[in-house]
Amino acid sequence: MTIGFERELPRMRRLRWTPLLLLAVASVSLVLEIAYPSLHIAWIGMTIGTVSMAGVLSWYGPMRTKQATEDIDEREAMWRCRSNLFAFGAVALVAWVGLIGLGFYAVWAGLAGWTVRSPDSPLETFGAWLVDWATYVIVLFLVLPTLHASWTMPDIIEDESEDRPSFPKPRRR
Amino acid sequence: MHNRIALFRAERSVSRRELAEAVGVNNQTIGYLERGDYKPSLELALKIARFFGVAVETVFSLTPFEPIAATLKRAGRDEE
Repeated sequence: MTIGFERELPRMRRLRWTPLLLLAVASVSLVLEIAYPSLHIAWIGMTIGTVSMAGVLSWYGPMRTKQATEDIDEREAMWRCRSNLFAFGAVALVAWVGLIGLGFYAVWAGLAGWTVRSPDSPLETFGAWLVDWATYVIVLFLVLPTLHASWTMPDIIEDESEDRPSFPKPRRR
Repeated sequence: MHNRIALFRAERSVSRRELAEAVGVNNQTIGYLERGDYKPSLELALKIARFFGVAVETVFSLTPFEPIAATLKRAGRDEE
């Protein structure tokens, strides 16, 4: 009697370099947005691209969240758990650093005329940076589990499910 | 943790897929187990042992198993 999976689950794929590329693009876009606010349109384009790609990565990478409602076995559950834990830790750290930095900026902006509303005012800059940082954290949240799982997962076993072991059976006397 | 899953599979002529279906895991998990890249839960270890009809410590061990050649040699010596 079959008590296991009734159907074949899609193979797990390691995506080692694509998440790193997305992280690089997201980091560059964050720096550009902060250093050159006039390139805001470029930041929007890069952000839309990275967030979309990050979502696709989490569907088709080793996390396979597209099949989240399907059966996963204990090994896959363990890897998902580890990778998500790593991502939550990293995201919490980055978010904390961002909040501290923005807090310092808010103090400075308060001294420099917080309530002035103009495109170059500290208030507008604070709001823009808050959005930039939050978006960066979202990208990290989407990409880091895939990145962690892809780099920590051992080499994938080639599927030889149809092949029976080739050792000769012991001869019966 | 060490195991003799590959040995038992070879002896019983069981494919990875058959074993995986019987114990309720993905095919690749059996491969990872055989290669030592994954340590099974107690439940999975018990299911695998039950599938082969042996005690769990016959399939899994915390110390390396004795090579088959050494076991056979010792068994032959005992028979003499």
